[in-house]
Amino acid sequence: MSGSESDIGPRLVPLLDVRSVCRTYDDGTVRALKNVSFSVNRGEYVAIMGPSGSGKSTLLNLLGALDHPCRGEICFEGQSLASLPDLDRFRARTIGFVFQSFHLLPTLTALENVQIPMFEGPLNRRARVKKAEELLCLVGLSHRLKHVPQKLSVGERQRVAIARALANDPSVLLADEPTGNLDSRAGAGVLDLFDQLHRQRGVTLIVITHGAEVAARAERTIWIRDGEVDLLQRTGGAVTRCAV
Amino acid sequence: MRCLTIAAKNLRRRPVRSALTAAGLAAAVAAIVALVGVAESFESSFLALYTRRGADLVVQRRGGAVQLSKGVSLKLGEQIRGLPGAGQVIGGLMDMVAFEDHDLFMVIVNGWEPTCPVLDRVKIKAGRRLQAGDKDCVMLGRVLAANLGKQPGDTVEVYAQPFHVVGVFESFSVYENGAVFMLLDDLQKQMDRPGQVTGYIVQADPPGDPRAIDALRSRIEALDPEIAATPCAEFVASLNQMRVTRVMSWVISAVACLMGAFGILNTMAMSVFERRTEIGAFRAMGWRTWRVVVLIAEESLLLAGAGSIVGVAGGFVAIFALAHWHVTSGLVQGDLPLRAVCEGLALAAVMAILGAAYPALRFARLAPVEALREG
Repeated sequence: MSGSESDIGPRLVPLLDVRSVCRTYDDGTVRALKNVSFSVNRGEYVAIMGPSGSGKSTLLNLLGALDHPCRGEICFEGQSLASLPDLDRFRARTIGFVFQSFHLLPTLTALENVQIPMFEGPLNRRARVKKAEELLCLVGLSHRLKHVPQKLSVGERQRVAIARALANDPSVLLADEPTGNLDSRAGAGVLDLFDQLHRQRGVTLIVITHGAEVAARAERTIWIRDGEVDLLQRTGGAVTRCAV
Repeated sequence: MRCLTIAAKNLRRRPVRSALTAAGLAAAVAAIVALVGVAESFESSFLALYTRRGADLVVQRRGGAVQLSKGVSLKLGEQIRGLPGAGQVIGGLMDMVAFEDHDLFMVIVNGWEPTCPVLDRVKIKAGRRLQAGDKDCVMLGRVLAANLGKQPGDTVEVYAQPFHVVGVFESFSVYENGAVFMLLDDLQKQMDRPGQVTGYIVQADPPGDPRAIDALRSRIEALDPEIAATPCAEFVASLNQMRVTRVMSWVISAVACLMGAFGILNTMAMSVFERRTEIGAFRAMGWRTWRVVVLIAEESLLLAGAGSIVGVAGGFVAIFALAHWHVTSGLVQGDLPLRAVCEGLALAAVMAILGAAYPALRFARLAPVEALREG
């Protein structure tokens, strides 16, 4: 069973190309992903939806080069991730992660938290501080630079995490249930921020979500069910059923 | 922000745990500094006993486990004085006694000839110096006199016999300040070693000249194959008491070091494993394994640094207290040798590295996706 994209132009090299990817656990007894294929173009806003246990997080780990597929390959700008000599560098420079539970360091201020990924970048200490300030301004937290996470609302914490994810100007932002721990108002604020980043900065966004309101903001939704791509749906447009 | 800032702020998350770990480490460092410091000071003070009197060689009988039990004849002293290249020759008998009523268990007793320059070089604080013809008389070092509560005119019991205190003196040496001086004849009688001294300290002529010392050494040893003439530093380092003190201080320091390392290991292991997902997030953000290892090591070194500062201060307080406690005041000087501080700090760094090694290496082997998995 497989899902494939039919509407990518032949001249375009997709930013991320997932080709017949399988991921199993426990010596193959648990099949988390089965022959999954799809691609994401630069500047796209894609939602990945599916019920719990459908393989969404496994897919996110593979897209973020945190894990390796058992079969198939994932290509970034045409190059297989398996062939990259330094996945740490790839993650640092190319991927920005936004976690459901933020993973902010409680003893660091917002300004300091945003600088964490920059240790693997080229900036010196002063430039790191300046960039972190700019990013916090971008996410609307210029007045919260010196606040530790405990002094921030949950919505503000997720904004700090988003600013942190943008620290090294990644090509792709991977968000795992970014509104899962937020109330509806804060969640909407985060989604507005994603819209803004996508629209104004052309950030490529891949968001894993349970929420239809999140998917509604994306340009495309990839539905995963039982480890397979079930549906590819362009928002307000065509639906392609992939699973047989 | 530096990586060190993250490490420092991580330690503030659990301030009580961090403080207790640092306190444990401080106790270990204090033990190391105090023990090594006392051993060092013991040795350097003992060496000063010879070097500050201008001695170049110590002459004693070879072999035997306890130097105090060996003796050489007074006749040998005369022979050494007659050798070419021999300067001042001072012979003395030495023993250890206890004043159990005063909790003093290692008090040095020196027996000197009435003309011995040692008796002239100590400063008389009260009473007078020992003189030829004094019988059953002693001079007490300042610290010992204070600890025994004795002054000139009093009687003190040594070897279960009453001795008349004729004077109280002060010396540059902590040992002599805690010692009893009596005339050689009296001590020979008490120790049943007639005509003997424990050894001689000999000055070469010219003093301190290595070639003259070597030549004199050969001449002295040619007098009797059972006799060893040893340069002072070598002699002090070879003393069994010094060796035992040094080994004991190192063994206890090693145990303290091990305990400190386990304390820091426990803290670092708990700290790292409870932050597993957070460190997984760092790895997801591109942090390399070595950077995570460095972060863990920095946290451990910061704990060790805090523990070291408190520990060195504690070690100094311990040495100061020992130097002023009546039981040990005649044996321990109140200074803190730099080497003891350096060794304490070095061992604290070793503790920190040992304590950080296990959690850091375990984490280095963990894939980021595994680290990120909650629970």
